[in-house]
Amino acid sequence: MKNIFSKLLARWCVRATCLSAFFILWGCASGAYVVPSVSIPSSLIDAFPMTVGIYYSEEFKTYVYEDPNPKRGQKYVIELGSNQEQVFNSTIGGLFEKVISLESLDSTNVEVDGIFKPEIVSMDLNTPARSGSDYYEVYVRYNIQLFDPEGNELHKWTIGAYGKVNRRDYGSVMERTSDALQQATENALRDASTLIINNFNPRQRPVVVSNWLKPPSQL
Amino acid sequence: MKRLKDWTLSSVMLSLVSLTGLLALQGCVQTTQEEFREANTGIGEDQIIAILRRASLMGENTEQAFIDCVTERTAKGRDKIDVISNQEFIDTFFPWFEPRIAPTDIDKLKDIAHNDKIKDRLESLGIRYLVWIDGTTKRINQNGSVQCAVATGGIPACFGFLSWRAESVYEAVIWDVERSISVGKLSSESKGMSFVPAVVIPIPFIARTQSSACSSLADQLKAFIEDGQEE
Repeated sequence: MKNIFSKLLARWCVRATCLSAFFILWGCASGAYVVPSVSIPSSLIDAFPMTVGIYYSEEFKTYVYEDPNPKRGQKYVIELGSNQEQVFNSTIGGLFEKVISLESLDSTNVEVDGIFKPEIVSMDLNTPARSGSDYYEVYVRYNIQLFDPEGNELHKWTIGAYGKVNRRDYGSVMERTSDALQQATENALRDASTLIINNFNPRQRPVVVSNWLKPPSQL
Repeated sequence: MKRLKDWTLSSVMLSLVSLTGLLALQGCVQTTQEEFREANTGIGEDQIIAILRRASLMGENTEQAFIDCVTERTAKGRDKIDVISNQEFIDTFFPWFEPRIAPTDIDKLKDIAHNDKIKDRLESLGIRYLVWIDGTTKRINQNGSVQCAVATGGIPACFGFLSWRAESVYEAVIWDVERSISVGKLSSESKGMSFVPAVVIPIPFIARTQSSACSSLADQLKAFIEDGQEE
């Protein structure tokens, strides 16, 4: 009986040792595959009484970030495009009374006051292992064009969205890199939404956009 | 002889594994608190507070786990105060309290509170105080290392000694939404030494400075708001 107990104990202890070492070694070589799924909350603002269209290009909807300089065992892939329609529909939908998704930039068949066309210019990320800081960081650069119903460009915004999370929220011994980058990406998307809304603040927006907008608004 | 050998090995390993499980064995933690009161306080039965993370785009960001801990502890106990969490608050008031544009002082809060939608929502939720928490836990003076490798026979093992000093420094700034004034500032600072000796199995003795700072700040916050007559 004692012999069986000893064997069981020895086996269990070896497993526990293996597990401890595995957890420690795992932390040395982890990349991440991220599919963001942020849900932008309803905006607490007065919507402009206008109907606008949004055109999402195929390139925009399928944008995937792949780390241009992967190190051994550390490949980072972020499927950014998959979440973009939700982010822009919610953001633009909060700014204007009605939003229509368009198949092309041609608005002859639909009655809209303007058309938005967002595109991702670039994306980058940083990890504590690379930067030496405590943060996972994500940067996304967008161009957002606004056209009048005739297809003339009224204005083009370039916005730099940024999101970060503290590494200590994602494990002290074995960091959950994918979860950390997922949250940093989602924070960047919330920041993009905030920047877009803030660009329609009377103190921020250009004259050409103010002239195009129909009042009232209390941004 | 074999049985004796097995038993000896088992006993040693059992002791080590048991010790690993006893993470509650903490290093020594020392906590200090400070309070600065600007005005008297008090809270009605139908009023709540919002505990918010002072997130900055460029500087340090408080750990979400710390905010969750203070929120949970403030909302518990005999002297509990009802709390709306950081995430629920910033979602409810989107985008006004996002890190990019959140008010950084009481005057900026007054500016945005002119917006009827924000004012109405603050009133309908009964939010009396906004508590902005700032600070982080840092490791300083880290020494030594723990090396892990797979030894002959396929058994992994770790050896070495790692130690560090942790400092958890947090501050809470409290704004009274009803009167649009800042009512005070609390701070909590915990320091402790952690170490991880490893002989086959690493055995962490962690000084839980963050947890200590959290308890201290939550208790201070409840006392500050509920018993707060100006001296």
